[in-house]
Amino acid sequence: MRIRYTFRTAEFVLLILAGAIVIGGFCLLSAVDHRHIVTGDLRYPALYVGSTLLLSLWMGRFAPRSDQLILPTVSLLAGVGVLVISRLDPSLGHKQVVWILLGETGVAILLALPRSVGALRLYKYTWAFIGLVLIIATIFLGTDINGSGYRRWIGYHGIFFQPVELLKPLIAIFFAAYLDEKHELLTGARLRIGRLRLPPFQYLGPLVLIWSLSLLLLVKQNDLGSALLFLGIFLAMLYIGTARAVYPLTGLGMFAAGVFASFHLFPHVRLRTEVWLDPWAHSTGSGFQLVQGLIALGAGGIGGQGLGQGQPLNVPVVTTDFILAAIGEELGLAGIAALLGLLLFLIFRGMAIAVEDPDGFRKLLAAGLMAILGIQTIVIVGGTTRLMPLTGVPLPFLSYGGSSALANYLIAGLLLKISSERAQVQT
Amino acid sequence: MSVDDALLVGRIAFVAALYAFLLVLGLLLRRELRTRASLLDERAPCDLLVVDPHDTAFEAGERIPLLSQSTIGRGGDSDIVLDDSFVSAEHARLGWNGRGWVLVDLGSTNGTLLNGKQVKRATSVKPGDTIEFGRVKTKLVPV
Repeated sequence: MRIRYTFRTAEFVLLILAGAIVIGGFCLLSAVDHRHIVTGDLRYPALYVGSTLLLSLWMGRFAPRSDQLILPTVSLLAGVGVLVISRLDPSLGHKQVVWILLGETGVAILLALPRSVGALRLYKYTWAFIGLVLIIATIFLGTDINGSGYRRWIGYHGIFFQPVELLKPLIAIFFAAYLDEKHELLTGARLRIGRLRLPPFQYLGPLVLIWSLSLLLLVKQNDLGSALLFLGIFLAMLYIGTARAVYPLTGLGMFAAGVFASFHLFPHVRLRTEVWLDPWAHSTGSGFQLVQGLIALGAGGIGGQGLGQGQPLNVPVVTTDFILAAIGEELGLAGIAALLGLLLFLIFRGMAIAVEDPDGFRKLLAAGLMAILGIQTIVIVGGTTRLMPLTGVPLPFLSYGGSSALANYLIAGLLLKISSERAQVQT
Repeated sequence: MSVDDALLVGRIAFVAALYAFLLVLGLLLRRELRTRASLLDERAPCDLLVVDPHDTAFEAGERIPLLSQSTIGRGGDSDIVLDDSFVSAEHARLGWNGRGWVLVDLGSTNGTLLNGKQVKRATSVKPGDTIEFGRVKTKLVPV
């Protein structure tokens, strides 16, 4: 058998460019720390850059036709993430590299698997079931490792995992399969109540289920971010799948009603809203983090203080949820805009893949995965900058977090596989 | 140049490099879109070969040239008019998307079959595939 190999030139060159930026950033960081260029501990960044190049070579064999701009964008984002995390806490930076390597291995395996993305739809209820079990297990068996008062991690011998991260791609797969199967039913028959035309209720079971799941997350875990995220993914995919505006509008209305009720029923939801409206009144208590984040962003201004030259460690949990504050303080608005530009490019690219794919399931899956990244970015950037109530979700590819890194690489891997299959169909 | 000047230059260069990367991505994207647009302009490299014309004016073995986007139906404003009572006024659309042929059924009454299988949403078609509009049987063949 002849082995077909394609050298992915554009991707490889872009990865070298991204790697140079990341390594350059590390040199700059050590220059700031030691007042002269020391190429001391470049092992981890070099390992990371090397691994991205290896992955590109691997894809030349197993996914030669997949999109060539996704991996470089992801790699630059994740590389800058490693850089900023290392600046805040070098040992966490090293850990993050290990998580990313695991994620890249996952992508490599996923792309080399002979089965197509479409095969995922066969096990759709399995995915949904695993997801629900994970969430319920976390609520009852989970650990609270950061003293937030909520059990959000599942741990085993010192290795902790955040199931809600894995749930994101799983839910997108389930929705894509469900909506693709029920496409005709959801767009076709209509129920009339007076002048109002509603979708057929019997097929809206999952909508109600997700609505209750997101409210459960909100109330039991105080996790408004994930609640918004799951609902957002579902409504986005429902709208993409059916082109009927009534679904997202109904869903948002239901969510607003749920939030309004929880505002009056649960004190922690009310406190969160008050902190959002006036963080300075709570600046020594529950608003401390938000206020410190705002001070950091203000200190950064447009150009930033320069890598390694600010004091971002004053912000609590700056390596995960508040990484944007650290980026803003040291790279400034200019740096934030560039990184958000990269995220935007990635999401745009994924949406373009979704638009062009002839297969309903893959189309919905690609769009849903991009909705995950997009909504997550909006929720945390909006929260950090006080555009909306703060809620802790990681900034995709930039925040520290093993579960989140793995989940994001899984998303990137699925997107690459979808683009690779589309290319095979069309030629 | 003092150390502080060097650090300032490094700082600006780092953020500038991020923008340079975005610019390169943008340029690659533009090149890709241009290539695709020029592919769309090319004359579609396939014909529709009539296998079973039924009541239409065509004869078996006749070749119908395809546009880059052709609508097929009984109605007079279709690009390819198949005057058979089993063909709907607006029956289907067959188009070249720059890389391959894509067939869409436009909600016809008697359906569109690709290699004997019902076509619902956009489906890709390869040269040599059999396409049936109602009872009219055709085949996609290279020019």
